[in-house]
Amino acid sequence: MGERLGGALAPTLAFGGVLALWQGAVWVLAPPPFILPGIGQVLARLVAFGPNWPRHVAATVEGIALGFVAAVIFGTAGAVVIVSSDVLRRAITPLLVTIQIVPKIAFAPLILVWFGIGLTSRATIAFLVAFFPVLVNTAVGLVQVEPELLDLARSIKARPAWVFFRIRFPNSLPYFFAGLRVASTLAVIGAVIGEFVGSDVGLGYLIVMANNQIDTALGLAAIFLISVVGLALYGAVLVIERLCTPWAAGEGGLEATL
Amino acid sequence: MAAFIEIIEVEKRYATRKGPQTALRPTSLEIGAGEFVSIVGPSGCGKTTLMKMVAGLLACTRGEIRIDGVPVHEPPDGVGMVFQTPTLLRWRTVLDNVLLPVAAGGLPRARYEPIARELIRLVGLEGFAQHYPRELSGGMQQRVAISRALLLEPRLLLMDEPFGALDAMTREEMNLELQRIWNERPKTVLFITHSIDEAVFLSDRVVVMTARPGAVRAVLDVELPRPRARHVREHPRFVEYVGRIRHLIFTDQRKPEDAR
Repeated sequence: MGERLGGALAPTLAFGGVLALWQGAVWVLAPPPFILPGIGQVLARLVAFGPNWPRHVAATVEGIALGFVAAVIFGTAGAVVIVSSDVLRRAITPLLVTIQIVPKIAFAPLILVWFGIGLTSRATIAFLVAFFPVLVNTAVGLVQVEPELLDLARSIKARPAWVFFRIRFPNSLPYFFAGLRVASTLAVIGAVIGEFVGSDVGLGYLIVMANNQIDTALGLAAIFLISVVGLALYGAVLVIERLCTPWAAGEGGLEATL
Repeated sequence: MAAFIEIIEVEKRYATRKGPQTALRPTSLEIGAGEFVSIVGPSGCGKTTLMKMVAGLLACTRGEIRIDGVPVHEPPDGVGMVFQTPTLLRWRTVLDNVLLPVAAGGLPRARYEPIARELIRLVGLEGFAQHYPRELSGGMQQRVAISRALLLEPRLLLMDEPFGALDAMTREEMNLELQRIWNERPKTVLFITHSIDEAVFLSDRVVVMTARPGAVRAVLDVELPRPRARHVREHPRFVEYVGRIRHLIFTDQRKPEDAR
């Protein structure tokens, strides 16, 4: 019984609880719809906006996907560079830490100036916020190898390339995927911020538009779709993670990210 | 005839911020072929340092180590190592972990797979060849590590506190197991431990070391018949050996007037 609660039932109840709280507040407090529309109104707006959704959803997905993929590629490459060269590591690390401390979102307006309104700017902002978790996690995974394992590798005369590909690389995978999970959520944030700052399309743009037109139901409908997109990406990362590292089952999971 | 392992006036110093620190004072020791020798001593006595130098993983500051007459400068052939942690690769099955030296050395897997399976049987893990390390208990994981160390038929087995992370009961079990394995596959063993009891139980000779800086205090021959059963620990001579070693470790050899 307790285990069932920990399985699918408890999360469902939690979701239901939040929705009930929302709808309850609408019924009890009866706020004007532009402050807080009911669930039914949001759903109605979602349906009514129907044929207009695809191009906005597509734009947002493009921004997220491009930014995320770039973050994975450059984050992984950066991690390999950092762990394989002492000189580069010492040169780059302070810079990386500094950039890490600066809120990347603060660059958003500047990036708009550089790349103009469009996919490039949105993807770049998504890339910027998603890049560091991939880099840091992968680098940690490549370095965090038991010292005794490296002693063992030397004693069995393993060549450095073998140690890298057969020990360091697989060892880094759970860390890499943990970074990917974080990056997947950040890429969504980055892409939406990009659309806030300057865009004529996308779910983030719609939220700003809906706010200006006091169409709160449309804004909430857009937020709902952003969540769906974000969850889909997160879920895809989880599935790939399970497929790539079945031996690490239990090391990751949603809990590890939270 | 020279001993199998010759440790000749070996010394180890580390450069630290406070200047050179001696980890091991000049130490000499000879180990015969087929002997089971334990090194016992408190943390910081340089026993792991000494073992790493024998393994060719660490250079001596002074002195020389020879295995079968050949000076050790890099990890020598025919040496199997077991560490305090099982150091298994989580993404490899038990069988693939045992075969690791074959994979790393580019040796033909087909030839070694039957040997690996036989070793898995020898350490009592039959039926676990396709399991992943996380599915095994700590003691079972350490058995895998022992199989891996034995795969290439080493002449010398170096074991650095292999049972140090196990609970006392599993540890006693593993002591018996190791003795049995050593009986079936006789080879020279250098065994590092901080358990006096374990050292006496397993060894032909016990090297007692003291700390700061590390040095050999004494070498004891353990004259107890083999194979030794669990209850040998109650034997008066066993108790006497343990007492003597404890005394050697816990009484400082330096007289108060020397220690000024």
